[in-house]
Amino acid sequence: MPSAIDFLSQGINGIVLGLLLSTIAIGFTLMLGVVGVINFAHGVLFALGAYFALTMRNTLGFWAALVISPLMVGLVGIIIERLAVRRMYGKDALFCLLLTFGIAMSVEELIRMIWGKLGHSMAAPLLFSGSIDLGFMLYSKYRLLLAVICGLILFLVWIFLEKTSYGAIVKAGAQDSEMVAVLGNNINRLRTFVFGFGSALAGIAGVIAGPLWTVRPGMGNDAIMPAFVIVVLGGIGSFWGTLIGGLAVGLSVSLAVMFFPRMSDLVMYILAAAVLLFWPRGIMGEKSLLEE
Amino acid sequence: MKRFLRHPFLWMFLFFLIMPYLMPLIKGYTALASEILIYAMFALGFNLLLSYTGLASFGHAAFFGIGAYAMALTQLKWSENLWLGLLMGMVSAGVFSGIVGALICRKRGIYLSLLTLAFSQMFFLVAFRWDEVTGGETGLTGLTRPPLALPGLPAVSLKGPMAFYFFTLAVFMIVMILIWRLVHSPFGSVLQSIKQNEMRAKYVGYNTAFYKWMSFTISGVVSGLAGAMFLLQHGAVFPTYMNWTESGNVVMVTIMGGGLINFFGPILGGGIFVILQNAIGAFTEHWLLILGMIFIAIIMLIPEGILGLLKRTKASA
Amino acid sequence: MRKKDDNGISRRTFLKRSVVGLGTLTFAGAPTLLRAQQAPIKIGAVIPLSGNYGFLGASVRCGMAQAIDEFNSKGGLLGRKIEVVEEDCATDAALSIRKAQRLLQAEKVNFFASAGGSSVCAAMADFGKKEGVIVMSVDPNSDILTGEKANRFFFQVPPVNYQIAHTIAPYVAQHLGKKWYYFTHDYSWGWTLTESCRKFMRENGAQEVGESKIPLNTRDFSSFLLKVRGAKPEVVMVNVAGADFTAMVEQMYEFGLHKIAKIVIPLEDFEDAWTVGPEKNSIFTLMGVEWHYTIPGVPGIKEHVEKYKKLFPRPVYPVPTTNSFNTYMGVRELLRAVERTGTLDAPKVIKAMEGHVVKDSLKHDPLTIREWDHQFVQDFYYFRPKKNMKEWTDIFEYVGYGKGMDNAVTRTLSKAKMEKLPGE
Repeated sequence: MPSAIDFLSQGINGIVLGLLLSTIAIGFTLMLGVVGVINFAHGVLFALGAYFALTMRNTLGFWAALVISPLMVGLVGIIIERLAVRRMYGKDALFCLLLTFGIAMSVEELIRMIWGKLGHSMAAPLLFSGSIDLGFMLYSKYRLLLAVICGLILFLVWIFLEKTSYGAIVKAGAQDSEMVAVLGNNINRLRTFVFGFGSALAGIAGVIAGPLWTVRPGMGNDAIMPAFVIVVLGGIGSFWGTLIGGLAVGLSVSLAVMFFPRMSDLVMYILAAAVLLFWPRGIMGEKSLLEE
Repeated sequence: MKRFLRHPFLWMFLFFLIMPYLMPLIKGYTALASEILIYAMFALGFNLLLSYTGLASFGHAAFFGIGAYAMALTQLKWSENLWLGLLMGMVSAGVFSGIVGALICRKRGIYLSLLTLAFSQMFFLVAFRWDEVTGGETGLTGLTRPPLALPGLPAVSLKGPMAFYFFTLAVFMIVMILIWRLVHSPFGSVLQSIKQNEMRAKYVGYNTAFYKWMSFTISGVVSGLAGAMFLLQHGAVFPTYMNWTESGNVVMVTIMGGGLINFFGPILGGGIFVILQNAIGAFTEHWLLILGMIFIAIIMLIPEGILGLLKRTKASA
Repeated sequence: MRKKDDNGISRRTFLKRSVVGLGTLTFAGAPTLLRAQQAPIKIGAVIPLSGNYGFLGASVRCGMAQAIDEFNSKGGLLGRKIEVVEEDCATDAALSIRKAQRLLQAEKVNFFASAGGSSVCAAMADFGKKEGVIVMSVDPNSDILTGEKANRFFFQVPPVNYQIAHTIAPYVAQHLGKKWYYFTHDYSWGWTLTESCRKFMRENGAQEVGESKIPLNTRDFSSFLLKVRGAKPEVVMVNVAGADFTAMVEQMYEFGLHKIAKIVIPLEDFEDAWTVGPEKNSIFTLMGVEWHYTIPGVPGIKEHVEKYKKLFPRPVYPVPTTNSFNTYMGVRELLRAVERTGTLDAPKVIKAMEGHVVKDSLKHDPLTIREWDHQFVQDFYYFRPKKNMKEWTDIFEYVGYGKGMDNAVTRTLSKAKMEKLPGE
C-alpha cells in the first residue's frame, strides 16, 4: 500500500499535469462552443507552437519564444479559418470536421518535411532545469514553473471571459451562437477571433509542453485525445468544466500509476464514461445546438 | 437482359476480374488488389451509417480491428476453420458495435462523433496494453491462411495471392449486393428518413433509436468482416489498425469517392486511398501530404466527392 | 532437282531464312542476356527512419553501405553490383510487413535487412518464413527472436536479453549494490530483459525491491520516478529503450534520481548516449554496450573506423556506432555466405551461414553463427561514463566484457525449434 507521501507526491504531480491539460483543452472547447467545429487540427497547432519555439529558442531565448510562438500559431489559425473553415459554415458540420482532419494530416506531414522526422529535445530554461528538494521529495523545477505559467494563462482567460465585454460575447457564443448573432454581434468576426484565440492557446501549451514531452512530429496526438476527453467530461464551451475536467484527468492518471500503471491512460476514458452516466452533457455542460 | 447488361454490378465485376493484372502498371502487385476490395468493403459498410443514416461515427476502425483480432484469436486458440474465423470476426465486431451503439444511439451530431471517438480510443488502448491476449504492441503475427472448404467440393488453398484475390472478390460481391438490397428495402427508406428529419420520423411512429442502433451494428459487422479478411491477407494484426486516424481515414475516403450521393462512391474512394498509400508511397514518402491536400480540395470544392463531380459534368454537358 | 513443299518455299530458301533469323535473334537477344547477368542483387532494407527508434536509421544505413562497399569496390558479388532498396518502417510492425511485401513483390529483392525494434523484427521473422526469404535482424534484442520466433530464414545478429543479463548481473551485484529496482519497458523486450536480470540477480545474491512497468510512448515519467524513493534501492536497472529512453534520461536527471541510487543501463547504444549528451549520460554508473570503437586490444577496429570515415565524409554519427556495427556484421556475413556458395538460392545460403565461425569479428573472441537458433554468438561489453573525454564520441570507458559462448542461452533452456527446409 503506497504511503501518504507517495499519494502527496503523485497528487502534486497530477495537479501539475492537470493544469497543462486544461491549458491544452481550453482553446479546443471555446472553438467547439463558439464556432461549432471539432478542430482535429488542434493537435498540430499545439505541435506548431512547440516547433516554432524550438526554432526561436537558440536565437531569442525561451521567454521570448513563449510569447512570440503563440502569436504565430494564432496567425496560422486565423489564416486557416479565413481561407478554409469559413466556407464550411453553412454546410453540414461533418464537412468542417473532415476539413480540419485533412488539415491536421497535411500540416503534420509538412512539419516532418520542414523539421525532420525525428524528435528533438527542447531544454528547459537554465534557471529552471534540474531538481529541487522539497523536503519529502525531489521534484522538477521546470514542472513547478509550468504549473505557475499554466495557472496564470488560465487565470487570464478567465478574466477575459468574465470581466471584459468582448469576453462576455465569446462566453455567450460558446453556449449559444445563434442567440449571439440575433443580438446583433458580428458573428463572423467573433468566429475568426475565437479560432485565432483558440489556436494561440494551443500554441502556448505546445511551447510549455515541449521541454516536458520532447518535440516530435506526432506530438499533437498526445494533446488532442486528452482534449476530447476533457471536453466530454467538463461540458462543451465551459471554462470551469474544462478546468475541473483537466484536473480530474491529470489526477486520475497520476494516481492510477500507483495501482495499475499499464492502464493509467485508459483511466481517463473510464472516468469520462462514468461521468457521462450521470451528467450526459458533461459536468458543466448545457444543452446546445451541437446536439442537432 | 439489356437492363442486366447495363447494371453497374456486372461492369464492376468484370473490371475487378482483370484488376490484378492491371496492378503492375502502377508499380503494384496482386495483394494490393485484394487490399483495395477489402477496404472498399469496409467503406461500403460504413457508408450505410454515414450517408444513409446520417451518423458520422469516428470510431469504426475499432470494429475493423476487433474483427481482425477475433479471427486471429480463433485461429490460434480454437480452430483453423476459415468459416468459423470469419464468423467470429463478424460476431465479435457485431457484439461490440451493438454495445457501443446502444450507448450512443440516442445522441446526435457532434456529441455522437466525440463519443465514438472516445470509445474507439478505449478499444485501441485495451488492444495496445492487454498483451496476454492481443500481443500488445507486437501484435499477433505468423498466421497462415486456412484452405477454402465447401461441403462436397475439394479444399482450395488460399495461400497464393491470386487464389485469395478471387475469394476476396466473391466475398466483396456478396456483401455489396446485400448492402444494396438493404439500402433499397423498406428498412433503408426508414434510415434515410431519419437522416432527413429524425423528429418527423419519430412522429410518424418509428422507433428511431432502434433503427439507428441497427444501422450502427450492421455497419460494425461489415467492418469486422473486412478486418477479418485483412488479417487473412497479411497474416498479422496490430493495435494500430484501431487507431483513431484510421477511423478518420475511412470517413474521409467514403466521402472523397462520392459516398454521400452515390452508392458506389466508397468503392472508388477506397481504391484511390489504397493506391495512393502504396503506389504513391513508393515514389514519395510524403504521400500523406498529397492525400491531405486532395482531401481538403475535395471537401472545399466538390463535397459530393469524385463521383459527384462526374455527375455535375454529366449534368452540364 | 528442287523440292518444293506446299507453301512454295524451297528448302534452300528455308534454310537461308532460318540462319538469318537465328542470327538476328542472337544479336537481338545478346544485350538482353548481358543485361540479365548484370541485374543488381537487391537487398531490401526495412529500417526505422522515424518513430521510437528513428534515430537509429542512419546508423543502419551506414552499416549496410560499409558492408556492401567491401564487395562492390571489388567488382560486385557473383559479378553483379549490390543495391539497397530502403523503406521506412517507422518503428511500426504493421507498416513493416506492408513495406516488406511491396519490396518483395514489386521490387523483387533477394534478401532483407530488418531493424526497428523487437516488434518489427518479430513480424519480419514470420514474414521471412512465410515467403521463404532470408531476413537479417540487426538491431533488436528480445529473447523471442531466438526462441519462439526462430526459424531457418531469420538470423539474429545482436545478443539477446538472456546473454545481456547474464553478463551484467554478476558485476552489478558484486560491485554496485544488492537491492535492485527495475524500470521495465512494457513490451516483450522489456519484460524478457527484466526476467533474465531477475534470474541472475538471485543467482548472485541480490534482491528486488520494486518494479515499475513503463508503458510504451510514455512521455511523462514523473509518476514512475517519484515511486522509486519509497523503495530505497541501491541500484536502479533501466530496462527501457529508444526515444522513450532518451526522454526518460532527461527526466531522471531532472528529478535527481542519480542522487538516490546507482543507475545501471544493461543495454545502451552509442546513439542513445550521443542523443542524450555526455552531461545527462553521466547519471549512469554502468552501461552494457554491444560494441564501441574504443574497445582496447582488439585488432581490426582501427581500420574499420578509418574505412568508415573515408566512406562517409559527412555522416550523422562521426564514428561507427553500435547499430552500424551490428548491421555491417550481419550484412557482411550474408554476402560472404552468398560468395561461398556462389548462388542466391536461400536454402543454400542459409546452410552456408549455419555453424560458420567468423574470425574477424572486431571483438575479443571470434563470432559463431549458431545453427540451432541462428544467433550470432558474440561478446558483450560493459562500460562506465568517461570522465576525461578526448573527443565528443569518446563517451564510454571500458570496464570489462563477457564471452559470448559463456553467456548466451543454452540449448536446454532455449525455446527455438527450427523447421526443415524443402529437400531435407
